[in-house]
Amino acid sequence: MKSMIGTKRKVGVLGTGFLIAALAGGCDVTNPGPIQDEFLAEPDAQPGLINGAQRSIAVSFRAYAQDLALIGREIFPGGQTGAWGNPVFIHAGHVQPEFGPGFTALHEARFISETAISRFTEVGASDDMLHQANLWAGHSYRMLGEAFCDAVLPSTDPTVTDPGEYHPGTTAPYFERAITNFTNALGFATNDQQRHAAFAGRASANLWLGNWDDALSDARQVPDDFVLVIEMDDSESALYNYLYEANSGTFRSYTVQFTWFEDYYSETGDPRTPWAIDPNFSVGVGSLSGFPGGQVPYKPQRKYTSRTDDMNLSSGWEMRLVEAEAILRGAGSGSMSDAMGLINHVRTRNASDHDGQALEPWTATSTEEAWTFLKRERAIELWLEGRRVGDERRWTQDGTPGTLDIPAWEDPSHPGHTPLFIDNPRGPLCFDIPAAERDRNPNVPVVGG
Amino acid sequence: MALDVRDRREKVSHRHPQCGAIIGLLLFAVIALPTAALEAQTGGITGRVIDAQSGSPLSDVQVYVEGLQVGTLARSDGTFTISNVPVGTHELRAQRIGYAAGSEEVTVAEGEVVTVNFELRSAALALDEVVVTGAAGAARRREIGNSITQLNVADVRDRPTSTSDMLQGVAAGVELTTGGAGIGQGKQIRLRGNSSISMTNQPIIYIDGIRMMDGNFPARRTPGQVQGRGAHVTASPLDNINPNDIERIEVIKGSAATTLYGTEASAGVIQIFTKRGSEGSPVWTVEMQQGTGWAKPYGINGVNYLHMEHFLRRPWWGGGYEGGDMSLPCVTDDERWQGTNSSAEGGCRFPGAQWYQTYNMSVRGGGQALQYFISGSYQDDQGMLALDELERYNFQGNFTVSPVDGLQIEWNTGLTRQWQQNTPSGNNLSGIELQMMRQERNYFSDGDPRTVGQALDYDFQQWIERMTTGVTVTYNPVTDLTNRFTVGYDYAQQEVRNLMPIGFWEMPEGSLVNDTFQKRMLTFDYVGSYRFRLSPAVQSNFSWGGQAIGNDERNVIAHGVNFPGAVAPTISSASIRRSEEERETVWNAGFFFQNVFDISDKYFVTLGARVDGNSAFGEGFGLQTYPKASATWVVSDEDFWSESLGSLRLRTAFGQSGRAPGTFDAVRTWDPIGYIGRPAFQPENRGNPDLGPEVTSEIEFGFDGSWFEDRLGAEFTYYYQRTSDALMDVSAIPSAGFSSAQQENVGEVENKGMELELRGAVIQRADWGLDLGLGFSTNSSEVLDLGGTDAFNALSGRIMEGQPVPVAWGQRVANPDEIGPFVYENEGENVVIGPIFPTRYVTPSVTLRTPGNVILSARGEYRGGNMVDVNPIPIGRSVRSPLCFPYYVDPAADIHLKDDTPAIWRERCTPGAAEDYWWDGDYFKLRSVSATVPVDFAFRDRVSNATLTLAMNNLWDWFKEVPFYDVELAHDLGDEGFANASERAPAPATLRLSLRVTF
Repeated sequence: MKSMIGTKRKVGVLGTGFLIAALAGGCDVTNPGPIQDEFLAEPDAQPGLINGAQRSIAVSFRAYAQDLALIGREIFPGGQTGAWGNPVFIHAGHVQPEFGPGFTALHEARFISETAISRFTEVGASDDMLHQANLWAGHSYRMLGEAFCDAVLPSTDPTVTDPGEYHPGTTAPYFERAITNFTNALGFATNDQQRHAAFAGRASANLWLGNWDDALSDARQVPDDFVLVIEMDDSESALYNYLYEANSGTFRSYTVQFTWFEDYYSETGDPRTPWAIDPNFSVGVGSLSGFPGGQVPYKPQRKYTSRTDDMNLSSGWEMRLVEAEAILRGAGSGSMSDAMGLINHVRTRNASDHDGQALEPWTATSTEEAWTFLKRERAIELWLEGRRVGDERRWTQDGTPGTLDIPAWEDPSHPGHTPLFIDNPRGPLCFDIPAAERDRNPNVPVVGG
Repeated sequence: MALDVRDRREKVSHRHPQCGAIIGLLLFAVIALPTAALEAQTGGITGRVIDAQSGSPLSDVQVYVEGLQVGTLARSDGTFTISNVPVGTHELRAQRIGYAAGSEEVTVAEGEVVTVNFELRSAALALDEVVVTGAAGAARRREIGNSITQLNVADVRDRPTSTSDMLQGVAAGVELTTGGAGIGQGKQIRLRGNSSISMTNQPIIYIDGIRMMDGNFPARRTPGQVQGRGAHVTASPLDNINPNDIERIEVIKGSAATTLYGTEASAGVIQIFTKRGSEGSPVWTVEMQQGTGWAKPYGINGVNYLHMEHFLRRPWWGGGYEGGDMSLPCVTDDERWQGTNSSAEGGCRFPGAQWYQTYNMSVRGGGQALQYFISGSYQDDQGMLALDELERYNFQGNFTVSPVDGLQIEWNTGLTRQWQQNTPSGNNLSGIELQMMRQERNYFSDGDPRTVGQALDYDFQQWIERMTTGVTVTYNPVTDLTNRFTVGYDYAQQEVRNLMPIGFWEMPEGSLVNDTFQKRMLTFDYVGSYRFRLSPAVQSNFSWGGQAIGNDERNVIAHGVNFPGAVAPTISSASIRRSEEERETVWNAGFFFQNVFDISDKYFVTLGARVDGNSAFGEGFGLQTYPKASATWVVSDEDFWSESLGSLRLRTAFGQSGRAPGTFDAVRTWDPIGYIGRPAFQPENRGNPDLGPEVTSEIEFGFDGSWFEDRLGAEFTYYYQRTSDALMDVSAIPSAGFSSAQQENVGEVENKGMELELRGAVIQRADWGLDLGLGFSTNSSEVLDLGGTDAFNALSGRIMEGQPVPVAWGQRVANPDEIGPFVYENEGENVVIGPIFPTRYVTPSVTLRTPGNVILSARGEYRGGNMVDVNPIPIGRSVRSPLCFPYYVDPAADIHLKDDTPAIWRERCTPGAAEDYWWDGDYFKLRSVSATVPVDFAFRDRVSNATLTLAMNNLWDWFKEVPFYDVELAHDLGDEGFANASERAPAPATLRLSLRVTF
């Protein structure tokens, strides 16, 4: 097959001169490199599609995770505003119309996965291949659903080129497709790890659709130690873990100074939210306009310590918190103490970086407190994984009780206050459909149109 | 690490004094050789060549005895002496480009010296001058309906060391833009502006009929990493050619002239002709050039060099860069700042002066059967930035063999080897300019040059090897039938090796990139022509031929990180290695026919067409036909024309040529991009089987005239180009999966303008002469149709229907002078600001000849009518900008603005805004000033010509509105020029002294 991979173009027979005609007519050009469509489903090529889908999800994390961390106030701008393709308003956590990082890469991941499903089904590929294709399609849809305000839904048949349908004000269609994909992935699963991955993905999607019982039952199928990651790598810049890269000593674009996590880690040493002082640099790169003295103290996160640190997509600990939330919402026993038991099960497994002792459990005396601890524990457990903003949106929309640990940087009395936060107030807690999609897809209106 | 620094420092101080000494000895030995012995048993010829109109001496005239291997070049005072001429009667010929050849019969007696003088008449219109480029075979200028620029290198006064310097400002419609200070930086070339949006606007280049690499070498890449983060210097293949080897250059600018070159020729054609051998005894030319340079102030408000003065080399005579903060005492353990490296003021400064040196030697001669031209040169330039150095070796060997009547074989070969070392520059994490401009808000959080100086451990080296070789066989079996076949091969290789040594601040574990790029171009070209008479008044010249050009590019990039400390790093010694390989081959082949109807040698009508196929065309596309037609009328040859009315020729031409799509654009493909060591595919091209070339049609008309006994000459051309089926990168619907833009033949672009060139011999006397030249041209383009594609960014601007290609597009302050908050026009939406590329060009030149034949000349260039975005300071990152110093409350420490700051400056100096940096782009640059003094009074009996030339380039400039920096650095010219032009130092002013001796 390898000899067929390539593009083969032929120059037509030309020329009147004897030599020119012979030369021109004989010009067969084989250029190695790109792969033509028809070779994709060959057995040797099938893993390429599976890996391609994962790669696109990894690529999506670059802006997706950084921007959601800024919007969720998990990190504070260090002064290098405008870097990493993040406009200044995003450093303040303000989402503007037509700003939608990760949209293209996640749709690409979806498309590759659905191409794989279609081609693999035609040629009768292995269950393993079909499981993976469905799993990555499911997570592409889940991530789109969690971060965006509206849905654009192209056909799942990759040969149909009609522009995607527009679903304003909801991302439920994304989650519905995710559930279909995770269910299919479950059907093709050949081992426990694959089954746990499918259950975990479906539990998260069900949580978003308000299917509390389904979320609870799916989450319960996943053991504590399960984890599904998307692998990051330093082989190319598109695959870097940018929450490390942008916070590294070289770039120093962000800091945990003034975040809720700064004090929390100082007080508890919770190993899930580490940060440290860099002995080489006390301030960030650039300077933050309006910040007293300009240059912001640099306190880098230490959750990710290299470009190759992977990003979590699902975990058993997340599932415990899914269970806890479903219970607080009335599923299963509906018991606050059961929910708190799960929350503290997640929490107390961790030993403090300060003294090596297990973290103190939360004690809730009311449902509202239980919700506060659930929200706090999800924020800690899923810190810098691109989940906090979606959670906040979901809980805000549902009017759930409890409080969120969001620092008030727009408050002039807050030590992290700068005019940046007044000038760019927190907007919707989701990304808009990007301008490129609005401009090209006739089903999606342009802003103001 | 210490080893690395020491190694590099040896390179920095690399001056090759032994090479200069060897060449100097050779020069002396050859000049001092006794020649008297050669004069026995023969006679000699002496004389003088002067301009028939002015009576002024003509230098560089080739004077030779027909049929014998004896001849020479006229000295700067026009005199010549030919020794060792066999006794007998001979034909003595004198010829020089731009003049009608002279011929005299001369009888030489034994032991006697005969005197023969020539008066050569310049042909202002040069109607019978033979040109090659764009014509089928060769044609007299009077037959050609399009304008054609011909540069005779002997007329270039300032002894440039690069071919692109020679072309800069040489003719209306020929625009070359200078890059930054990085040594070896190629220029961007435009002929008649932009007629394409998505495809290249760089002309294609031929050398002696062989297609060579055009554009610039690619910027260095790192596998999978952000591109262009090398030294941001992209060398030009054009500049690999030794300008001393060039006899003349022909330039045709548009499709009306380039039809016979077919696909790929829409942006024009430059053809270089190297020097050829000639009948006569060997004529040696030796030239030695020494030079220096200095940075002109490019900052503002007392920060004259944007904090770069510590890293700029000075001219020979020393001196400092005024306005810089040199107050830092050089107290540091880093030896690079010690001793001779510290300035007279005691402040830290990197070492050395700028020093340019070039040595050339060539010989030409031959007999009837074999003529030769052989040359060699060596160049070593140490540039303005601390580590910049370039070394180049050139060899050229041209041989012409005429074994039998009617058959001539030419074999031309040029070899180049170039090494250059650059300073980390531009938008590079370790870029010196970037770090210094940002001061304490840089990546070190420290503006101390000794801290930033760590970045100089980043080692940028680059090697270029070039070979262009080819054979042209011309066979004339019968009268009026000519066949010419050329086969040629152009090989270009660039190896870029960038090393971050162990311990380097940015990557302490060390990093090495080796990016090796190879390009091979194969040329097969045949043209036949047959001249016959249709009637007593009408002659027909029918030509036919074909051409195949193969282009093979290979790029292998290797990247290694994490080195063991004990070895000099190679990729193999790295603990982690990554690599990439790209290979592309494209063939373009076509055939053509053309007929020139010559009516009474006054009217000429040309009709022709070329048909092309290209391996990048879609399978469903087929072949592309490009027609051409032209007509000229030599009005001044009419009987009714009075001689007092001067000479006049009218001309018009129409033609088409094209640009091929990208190699893979026609095919639906997936990119095997890989993912962490595993195969991975991602959608790449949607593909389009009907994809074909974009086709540019051009019509031009104009006239060539001369008046007042050829003392005033003018050429005028108006051109109108329309590119149809323009290739556009049509963006995809992101949610559809194939998210990359796909090339489609959907657009339409218009490009038009006029070119006027005036030449005046104001004073034309034997002892004094004053020539003035003025080129004036306009260029305006417009996107007529985007084929349903939305406006997009390209060519450093915005591509929008109804606007120039490209147009400036951004936010503008509506209340610039108001004290208070700024308000944007159009409620903050982007507005059209104006064309980005200049629309007006003026190229004045002056040449003054004084008694003693001292020649002073100057050449300048004005460009304007456009808007530029000039701001190298990243305000968005709250860097203190010298431009904003008058408005900061405390410029030394912070960026808080005064209350009385005008709105425009409030916007420009506020992070989060800082959009309205648009300025009127008009500027003028004095490209060169030179003085040439004959010095052949020394060794007069042994040398035929000796001149001393003092040339200064880039000496002075004027910017209409831009308050600092350099307008020519405003454009990010991407792959076609220099990536990330921002945060760079502008090119230096230079001074060069050349001694050229011919004997």
